[in-house]
Amino acid sequence: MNKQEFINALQISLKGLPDEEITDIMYDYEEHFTIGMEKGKSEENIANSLGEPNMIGKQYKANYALKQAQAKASTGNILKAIFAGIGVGLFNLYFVLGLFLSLLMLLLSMFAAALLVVLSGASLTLSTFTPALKPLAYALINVPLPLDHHPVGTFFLALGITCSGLLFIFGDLKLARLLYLGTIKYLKFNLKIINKAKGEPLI
Amino acid sequence: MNIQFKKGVLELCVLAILDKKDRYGYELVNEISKNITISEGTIYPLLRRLKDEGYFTTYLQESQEGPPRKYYRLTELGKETKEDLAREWFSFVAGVNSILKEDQNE
Repeated sequence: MNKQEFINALQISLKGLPDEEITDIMYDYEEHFTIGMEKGKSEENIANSLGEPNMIGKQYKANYALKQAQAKASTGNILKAIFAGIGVGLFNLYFVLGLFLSLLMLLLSMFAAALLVVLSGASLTLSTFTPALKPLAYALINVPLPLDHHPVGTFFLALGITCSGLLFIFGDLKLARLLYLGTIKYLKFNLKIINKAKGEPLI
Repeated sequence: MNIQFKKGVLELCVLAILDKKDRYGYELVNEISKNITISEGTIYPLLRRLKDEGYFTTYLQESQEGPPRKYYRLTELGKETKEDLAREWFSFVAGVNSILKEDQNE
């Protein structure tokens, strides 16, 4: 492979990265070839020593994906980082993908359940003032008949239900945060990133 | 040699080389590949990542032989990290060596 072939292949494998990033990366390799040739090495020799351009490109993409996920821990960014890691040969990440998605589904259903509790509680609370809401409230919660005659008691009970629902939602958000940050931490560990701040041992 | 070993210590090697003096990319790659068999192309992505994480800064310097060269300089964080990692490495190697020596004596 000569210099132009290498450069072209590398540029193609970097597709998807921001333009300035690509330009900056290509500068390094242009410089590398230039200096290598000054020192008398042939283009083929230099290209051979560097290795496969698409493997190199994947490495850059994996690093970038992880950087994006660290900047903004969104579901999209995490999924991109997982796939980029798999692209670089970290096949254990298939397992991480499965685990992440299942836990995400679990969290979503817990979230939906909590939302329902809040809705039920809120409608019951309001129904003590606005009898028009009673059909909705009673549809959501199985209200025993005696409760109907005790609006004050019902009010506080319903308030309690609403607050529990809100607590559940709050708890779910915390769990979601744990899941996302935990996944990113595992991805970093896999890319063998040294993390001096945490004092993690190298080996 | 095991690729996992190499990946783990490559960062330490880069930091150690830069600790002694600033280098430009080609120099750095050369220093490393002189001592360890590695795909040179894996070093530039590593340099980029370490720079993003604040272990070194880069600057351009005019060169007599051609276009300006991009030099890498270790930051304070880089120096400290290199010290920590080097210490861990030496103690690890000492540990492994003593196990191997015992094994050979049996």
